[in-house]
Amino acid sequence: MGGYILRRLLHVIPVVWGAVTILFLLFFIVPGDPVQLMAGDRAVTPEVRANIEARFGLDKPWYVQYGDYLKRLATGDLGVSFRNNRSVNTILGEAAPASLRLAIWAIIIEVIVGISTGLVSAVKRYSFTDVLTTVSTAMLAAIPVFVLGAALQYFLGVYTFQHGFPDWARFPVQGIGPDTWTFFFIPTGSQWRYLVLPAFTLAAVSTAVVARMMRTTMLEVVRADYMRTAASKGLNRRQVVLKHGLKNAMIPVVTLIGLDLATLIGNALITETVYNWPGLGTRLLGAIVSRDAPIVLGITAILVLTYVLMNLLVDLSYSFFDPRIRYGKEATA
Amino acid sequence: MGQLRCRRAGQVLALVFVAILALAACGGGGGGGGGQTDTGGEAGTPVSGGDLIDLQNFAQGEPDHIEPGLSSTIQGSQPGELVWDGLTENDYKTGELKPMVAESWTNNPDATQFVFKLRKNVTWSDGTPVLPSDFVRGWNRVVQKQFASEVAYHFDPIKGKAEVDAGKAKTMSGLKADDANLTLTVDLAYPYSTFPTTTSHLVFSPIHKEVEKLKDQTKYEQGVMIGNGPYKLAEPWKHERYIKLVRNDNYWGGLNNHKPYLNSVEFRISKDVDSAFADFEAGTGQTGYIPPGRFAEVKAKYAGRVSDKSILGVYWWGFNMKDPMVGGAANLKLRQAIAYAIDKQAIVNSVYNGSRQVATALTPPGLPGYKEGLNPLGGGRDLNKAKQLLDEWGGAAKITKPIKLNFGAGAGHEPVATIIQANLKELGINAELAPGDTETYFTQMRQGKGQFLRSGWIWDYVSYDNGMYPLFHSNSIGGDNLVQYSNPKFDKLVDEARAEIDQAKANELYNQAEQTMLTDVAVVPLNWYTGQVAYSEQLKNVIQSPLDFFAYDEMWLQQ
Repeated sequence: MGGYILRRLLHVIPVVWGAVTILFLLFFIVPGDPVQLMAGDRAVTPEVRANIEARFGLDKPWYVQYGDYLKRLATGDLGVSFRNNRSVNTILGEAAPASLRLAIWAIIIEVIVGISTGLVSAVKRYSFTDVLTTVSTAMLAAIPVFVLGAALQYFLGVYTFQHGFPDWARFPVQGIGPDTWTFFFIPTGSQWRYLVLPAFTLAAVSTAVVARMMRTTMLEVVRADYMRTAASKGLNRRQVVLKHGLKNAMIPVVTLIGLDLATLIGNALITETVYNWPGLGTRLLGAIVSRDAPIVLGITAILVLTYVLMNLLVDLSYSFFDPRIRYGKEATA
Repeated sequence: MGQLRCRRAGQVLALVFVAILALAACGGGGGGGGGQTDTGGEAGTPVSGGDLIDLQNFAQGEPDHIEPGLSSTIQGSQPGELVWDGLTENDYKTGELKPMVAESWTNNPDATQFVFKLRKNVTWSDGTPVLPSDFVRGWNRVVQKQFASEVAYHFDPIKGKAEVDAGKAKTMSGLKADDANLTLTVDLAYPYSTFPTTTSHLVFSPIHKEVEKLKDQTKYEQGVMIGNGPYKLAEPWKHERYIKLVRNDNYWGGLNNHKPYLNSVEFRISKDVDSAFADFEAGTGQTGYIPPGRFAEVKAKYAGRVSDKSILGVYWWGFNMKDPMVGGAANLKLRQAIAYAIDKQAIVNSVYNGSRQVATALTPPGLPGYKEGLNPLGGGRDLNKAKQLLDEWGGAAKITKPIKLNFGAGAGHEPVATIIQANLKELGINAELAPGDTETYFTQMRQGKGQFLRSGWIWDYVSYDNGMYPLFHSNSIGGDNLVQYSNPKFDKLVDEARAEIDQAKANELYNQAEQTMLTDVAVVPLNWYTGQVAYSEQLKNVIQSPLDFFAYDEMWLQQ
């Protein structure tokens, strides 16, 4: 198992390198001049252009720029932003914690709410709970993230303020608020009020999908022979469902959660923009629009890394859910 | 059993849909909490105190830079306008040039040298006096090659800048500071009578000597910069979150001789214009930037609390004067016909929701020197005249290929181009939309690749010259003269105006120059920009400048 993990970790290197290289080359192929974009509508004089290009090494041929970039990347230096000369490492250091906290809460909601409602839905098939879950997940999965965000902002932020609702019923429309946390992701003081709307908006689509998946796989599992055997052995309902049923149903669901991380990252960009949550999403958007290559490459490298590691965790969790699955040397033994 | 379940499911579904409809109905009907009080924002005596949360300035996102040497946007420069005071300032209400840190100035007869005399009582926020050498330091700093500032062009008129650009000098030879006598002598590379007006721009701010400690000048704006204005930075710029200013207790008093009323101003940085305005409507801040598309609705709801004065900005479509089909003297009547055909009011109503003013000339009202009636075509729509002129030119059949309507894609110009296309069709002229990549659009237009192209201009300073020289002088071809306009008569008028000390006479020359350009129909100005800010009942004395800055140091909050 240890060797397997090590090999999987080594796979990360070519994946990240490949993603960064493709993007880097794209910056040269796609039209768009960061120097002109910095100046907006105004003309950029040749002197100013020469100065800016000299500072960022933009006047060198692409393979020289690429080589320089890889050399810096190897030492962990992600370069400086074209727009304001700030170190990309500093910028990401500012932005990443906010995104991480939002993502952690979105995943917590997704896992807890999604799995439990899916489970209850499957076990009490066709009951009121089941129908409610089915209908609401269908709606949530269909509503675009920015529509949901704007609607929640209006109804719970603007409308409640303009009609004099009590303070506890009003939620902040945007912003991260006091930015106070303990244990990295637990909000303290009034922080949780700023967290609620963005976290639910971000989790909405993924929760809906997870709930449906859970319901489907659980329904399949409930029909299996071993469930009848477990019941006939005398175990009570909860033990049968949770200990034998749930574990078996989890593998497709866990796979889904791992793959859904990509959707989560994409939705996070929208959610962060709508709620003005100062994370990686807002930085990335600004950087793409102004062709600020170092920031785009830096954030992408981190996102690719995160995605690959998350999927490694998902794969490793299979052995927990299904003891028959083994990795590495033990698999062939 | 199956039937029972299906019926129950149906009942649940029905319940859910009714609930959604009810919610939607509720949302549509309500929302009248904003009120329509008519305070006008100006009455009453000033009250000292209060903290302002501003949601309008950075509603569209974070600026790239905020320091005088690097900021190239109005929004980015707004905090700086409060932190630094320059030699001169344009009155926010009238646009008139007033002495600020300089109490007076003199010039030589041919407008190539200006001597500024500084006031004695102006200090930095740390108590040290502001000296002429602080201005020289600030100005020289911007033009350094390694600083790579996009706004160094403001210093082009100063003698010695060309040598710095060429790498032959480190400082501009035209600047001389006499700290003992508090005078600053500026020698110019060419006659430029509006130079004092340009010194009101943020880029001409003095810079505290603390900056000399920094190895990398671009890092200056990441810390707490010392200024001499009514406000000072409370803490470093909190990226993507806010910029906070607090009252400068060492402030010399400014033009109106008082310290600012508000204790602090916090510029919140948003990412999405709609969310930022929703935040304003939810009571988080006292100012909000009105999202495009909501202008008419907000103006009605917040009557008396909307700042929509016209600002010095113009939106136009212009002809590539070197194009064989539309440019040059031979095609004048075609250009006139097109100018008469465009329905500017329809564009303002449908595309801009009424938030712009139809433009009859290039230079907007509010600029000292503005004169009504400069446009020989009048500036309005006249389809009959258009048809007549088109026939006189040779008729629509003479146009062999559809006329290209060039514009940058994805920036909101498609609807305008569509309306223009429809207007031209009424004359029988075929036009096709030719969107270009926003990233490469201006480069292409600069190289003369457009035919009928869209552009706009926001004035750098409250000076007539700024709308004439950079846009239409032959020296500016390859720069901001996108229409490749080259008329010796125009050039001569502008060159004379630049050398004319008497500003009233200079403005008359600029009037003639603008009339020349409009007679040649180099551009069809469509509309002038207006302010788009709404503010709360508590905020008083909200004054918007012609350049779209706000006088936060004159505002107060009714407690």
